[in-house]
Amino acid sequence: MAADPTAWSLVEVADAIVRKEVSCLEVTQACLARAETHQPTLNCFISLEADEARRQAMDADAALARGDVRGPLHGVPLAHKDLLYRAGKVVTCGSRILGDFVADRTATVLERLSAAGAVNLGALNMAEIALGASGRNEHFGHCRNPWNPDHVTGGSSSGSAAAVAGRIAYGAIGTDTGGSIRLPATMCGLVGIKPTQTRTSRHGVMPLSYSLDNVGPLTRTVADCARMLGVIAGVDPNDPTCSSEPVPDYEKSLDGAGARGVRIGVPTSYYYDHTTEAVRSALEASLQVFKSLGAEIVEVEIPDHDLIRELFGTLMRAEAANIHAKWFAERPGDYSTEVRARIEAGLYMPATRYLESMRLRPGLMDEFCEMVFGKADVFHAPGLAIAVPTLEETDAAVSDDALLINERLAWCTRAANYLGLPSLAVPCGFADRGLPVGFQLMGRPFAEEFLFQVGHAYQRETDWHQRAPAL
Amino acid sequence: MAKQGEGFSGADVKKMAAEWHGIELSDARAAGLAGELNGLNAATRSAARRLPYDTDPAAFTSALTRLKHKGRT
Repeated sequence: MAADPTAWSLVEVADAIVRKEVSCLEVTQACLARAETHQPTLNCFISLEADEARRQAMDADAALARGDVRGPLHGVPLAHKDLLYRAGKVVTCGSRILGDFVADRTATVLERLSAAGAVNLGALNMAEIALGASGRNEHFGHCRNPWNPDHVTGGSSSGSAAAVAGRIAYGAIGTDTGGSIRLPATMCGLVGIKPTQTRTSRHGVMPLSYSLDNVGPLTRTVADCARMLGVIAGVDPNDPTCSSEPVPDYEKSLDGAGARGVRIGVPTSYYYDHTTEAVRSALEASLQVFKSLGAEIVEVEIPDHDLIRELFGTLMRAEAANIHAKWFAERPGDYSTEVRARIEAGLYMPATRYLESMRLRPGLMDEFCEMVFGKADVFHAPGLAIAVPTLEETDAAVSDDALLINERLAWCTRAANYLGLPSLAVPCGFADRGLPVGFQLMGRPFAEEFLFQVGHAYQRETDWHQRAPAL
Repeated sequence: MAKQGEGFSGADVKKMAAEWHGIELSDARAAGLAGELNGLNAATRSAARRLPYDTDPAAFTSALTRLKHKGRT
């Protein structure tokens, strides 16, 4: 392994800490040094909590000296999107609206990371109120892509992706309502999972859309992602929507059967409508890797995704507008024009339409599972169809194409949220302008363990996940 | 006001904004929102025609369990 511990993966550093090859404080200091060096360029933190992180690392070292390994993340520096509550701390949600909001409780997900021994580096930048596929933020400044700071990170979990890709944190928590984990993961060359709806607790997480929000990790490798999801997933008495389905040991089966014999479904419509040649080529190459591993590639038809996009839009706008209605009326100037414009229609949506969009959901999930998983075991699609845009290209004030680009960013990701299905983003190369490209693997509900196996098999054969940006 | 079957007009949205939420909209913004709403309304309404009358939105959660992954095939 490299001498610099920030070059190691989460699993590698966690194992090295337990073997006492490196101390928690050494690792944390290395991460903090990178954070301080690169924050001016990447702007990934809203609140970097260096002193608190050092204190946690020293506690972790003291515990280890007593023979007390707290859990599978003992001493590992992580960070989280600034919409997860910590009792007594300000949680901005990347917004001016919540700029002075002090949480009265701690998110279950953060409590579980802490119980597993993680060190918290601080709260990360994000798109305002978690709405925005580019990750732009007018209030806290835009986050920048570590592979090229002229480009967006993707959003809304922009800081989560920048911190992990920038080798500042080993993993970060994000949320995904329409692609907000998978898009920044894809654009920054990372792994990220939107779990099955109800798989992870949303207690203590600022909502955007109750029916579509999911909490999940962004990491450098599939194995890292499996470890983090294994820690945070599972029933939570504080979140009545959280599933009681047992959580498998995701890591245990990673090196099992791999991709041999797995039927990989490739869509015959919609997902490739706007792909660039370079993205398409990288996606096809990833399928060739799966074929070489013994997988079978099968074409699958899918339900009407234009309809799913409209139903997603109805549902998300109605729920998000309802959450923000009071502030829209009282403090309209505290929202960026772009954010208001995206959800304001929800204020005037008839209740019948909202309910119809909810009632159509189970039937479309049935239809998708029958059409896709009747023929395939996993569904393979682009994580992002277009080239990773620059910050300027996504700025509606200067770019005529900004609205179209912003719409196309989440073209491939929203359906998984509406359908409630798990989706794992995996990097598969570099495409237009040298920026990362990735695919997503979708499965039946609660197929996370299987998705990790297939994604991990791909990463054993490729090295895209081992490449780091030259910051 | 828009006639029945024509969807929302900008004036409809402007009135709803003021009366329901205390929000003042410009004519142009209200017209834009009306167009957006009419598109979403039409797509959702049309798709909903296929729904049996007794489809419960809560069926989504049970479908997650019913359709869950059951291991490699």
